[in-house]
Amino acid sequence: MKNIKLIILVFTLLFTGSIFGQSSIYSRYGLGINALGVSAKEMSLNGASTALSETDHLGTSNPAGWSSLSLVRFEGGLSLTQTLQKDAASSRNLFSARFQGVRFGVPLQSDYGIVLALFLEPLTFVDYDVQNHYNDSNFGEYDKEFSGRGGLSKFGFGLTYRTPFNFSLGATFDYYTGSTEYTSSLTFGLLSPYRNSTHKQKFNQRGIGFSVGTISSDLSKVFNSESVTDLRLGFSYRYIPKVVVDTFMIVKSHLEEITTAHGVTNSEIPYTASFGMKMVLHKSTTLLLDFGFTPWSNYQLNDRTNPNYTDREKVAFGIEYKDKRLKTKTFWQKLSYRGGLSYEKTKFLINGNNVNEYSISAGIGVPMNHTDILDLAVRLGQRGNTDFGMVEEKFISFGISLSFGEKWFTRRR
Amino acid sequence: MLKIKFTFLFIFLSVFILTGCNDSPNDVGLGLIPASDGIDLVSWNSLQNPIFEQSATVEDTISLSYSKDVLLGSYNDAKSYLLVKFLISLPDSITTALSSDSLTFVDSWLSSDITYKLGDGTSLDFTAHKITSDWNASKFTKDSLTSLQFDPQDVYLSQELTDSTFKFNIQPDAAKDWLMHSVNSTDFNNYGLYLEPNANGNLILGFPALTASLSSKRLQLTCVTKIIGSQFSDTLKFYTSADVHLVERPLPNVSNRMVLQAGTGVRSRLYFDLSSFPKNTVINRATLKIYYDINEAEFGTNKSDTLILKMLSDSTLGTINTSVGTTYLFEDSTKYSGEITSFVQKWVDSTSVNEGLLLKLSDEDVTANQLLLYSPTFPDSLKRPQLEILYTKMR
Repeated sequence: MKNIKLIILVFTLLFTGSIFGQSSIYSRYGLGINALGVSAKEMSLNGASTALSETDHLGTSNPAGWSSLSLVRFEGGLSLTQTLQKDAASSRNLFSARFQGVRFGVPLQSDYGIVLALFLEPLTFVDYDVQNHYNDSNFGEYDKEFSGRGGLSKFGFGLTYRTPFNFSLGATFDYYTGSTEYTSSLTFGLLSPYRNSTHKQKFNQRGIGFSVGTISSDLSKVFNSESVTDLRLGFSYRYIPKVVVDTFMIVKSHLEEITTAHGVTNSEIPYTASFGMKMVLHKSTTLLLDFGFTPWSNYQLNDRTNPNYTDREKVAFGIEYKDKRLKTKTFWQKLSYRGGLSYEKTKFLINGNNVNEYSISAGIGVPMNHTDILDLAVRLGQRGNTDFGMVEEKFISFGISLSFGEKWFTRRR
Repeated sequence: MLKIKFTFLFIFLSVFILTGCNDSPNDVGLGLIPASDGIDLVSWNSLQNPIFEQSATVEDTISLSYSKDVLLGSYNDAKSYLLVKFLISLPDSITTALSSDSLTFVDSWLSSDITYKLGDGTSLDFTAHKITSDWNASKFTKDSLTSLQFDPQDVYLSQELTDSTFKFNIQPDAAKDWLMHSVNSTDFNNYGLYLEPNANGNLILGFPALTASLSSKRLQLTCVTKIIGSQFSDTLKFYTSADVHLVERPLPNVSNRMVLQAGTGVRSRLYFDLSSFPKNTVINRATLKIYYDINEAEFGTNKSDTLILKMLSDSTLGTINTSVGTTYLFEDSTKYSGEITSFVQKWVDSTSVNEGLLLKLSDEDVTANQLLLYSPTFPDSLKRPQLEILYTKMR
């Protein structure tokens, strides 16, 4: 079993963020499409996890949420997405596969909720491909193709601490790195006398940042209700002071690829603030509500804002049912059942119109033994529409993640 | 039970991955591509966008020692000299007869198939001389000709010329020394024959050289001998062991032309100043057109229908840039044209210095052709060398 865990760990680390296929034309703008999280549990709750803190999962982007961890835990996830892209004239099916990243948490002191966490996860993705065919009376048939690949990832470490009043605090140090390449190419037919040409714009980004978060103590006594057994509020804040961007202009002919211009500039990535609420009903049903906000209209590259960026707002609702009352359970009773809804005013602004995203999700958590959990998720949604020159993207994503727990630092008797 | 469920999950995900539908890229989302990503095809030519052009005719030193044909004769002001040496291998009976001085030479001649013909003369006008000093074909150039030592006596007797073969007789015993050399290398030499064309001839012929693959069609020496006292004669045949030809031709007295000559090393250099051409572009195709007048060309039976172009790395020294190889221009009744995309791309990328191009005839070692190309200074701009470029640039 240890060998399998090690293989999965190495494999996930090697391929975190790597993809095949394309997913969204909107990723052409700025830093691309936001990643939804490492764990399939986050996907099944549609990202409503700011106030979530659990003993057996690292499935939240709020660092304070890791403070309840009871075992050394490793999580890694994979997502598969089928997208139907459509504009006013035509449509296209896209498929992509992506490793969602890895998180590793080590509880150091359970009384004070001190947990050390390491993580490597994608923040944004750029992956699109558009092609147009031309038939010119002078030059014959050729294609213009525009594609983008890359994104921004972060890795770093975090620490959590639980205060005497049962408030959980968490902070991470993040290092951001990523390379994005936008390619415009012109391809002639095999028998054409003309040579193909490619122009590339490449951006290598690196920078440091941090995240802080907090989750309140149980506020359920406010309701004085037997049915509400746990009520918590959460808040997280991510800040990236400065990102250094190496920019390259590259031309590729049939003969050689040369860099025609190179410069270094700065990028300003705005903060992200998330507010969340968690409520447990009848000890078995967890309700989650999240609101996230990022003022992407302030995003700047080389001191210039992006006219296709606006402020992002997201509201997400999640629900999880887990029967905690029975002592002897059937397989189906051992499962966690999850669902979620979300509405997002994305950061993309096309021809003055917001690109909105709606999605619905569901998932299950399957305990493989006393410590390990397999999480599965499915998410259906729509991004944008065919009005105002936009592109409608209907997608279905399948997420699968593994959460391995182990006891470390336990003295043998 | 759990294993079955995981197996089912694995199969489900595998099927989803394998059946995941990913259509080929199309134009969905084209309108969302920022204008700054746009690329355009642009046509450019030197006729509508005049740039500084320059040409020069130069004479390089070339070696014809590995030519697959050798030439002999004269045409107008062109002369081709020929040196041949034969490999002598004799049967014992002949060797014995030579040693006892009992071998008489009845007849001797050289013959060969014809591979090239320039001029409409009915005979080759030349003299034949036995060479008296050693020579090395691989190092023999026009400059070596002045130091060549040969017997002034002309051993040429007669010739027979058909459409495809050439045969000429030499004095019967002219080859005796070469045969004796195989018996007594101390007192006799085998330095071969020097064939010198006379001026004012009207025919140059080409024959398969030593490097030609078909030895039976090569120049060969035939000697008919008879041993004294014998009623039978012997016919001995010898193939060349070394050969080289040398072409002499003055530059024509014409202006506004780029001159290319075969055999003499006369070539031309052509330069286009592309410093004003847009940078950071990708060349989809660059075509060079160089015009000429067929009436000014001197082509033999092998028409020079191809020009070789090389990129110069130093136009002063005439050194070649080998990083992009060779390209060719092909003849098309009024012009030679061809693709020089790689050259132009290198110049635009500034990964090679633009020192211009070297032009030469592709058959310069096997013919005596001469081609006059209109130069950049030719009065009619439509007949000057033209560069046409299709390139891609970002908006």
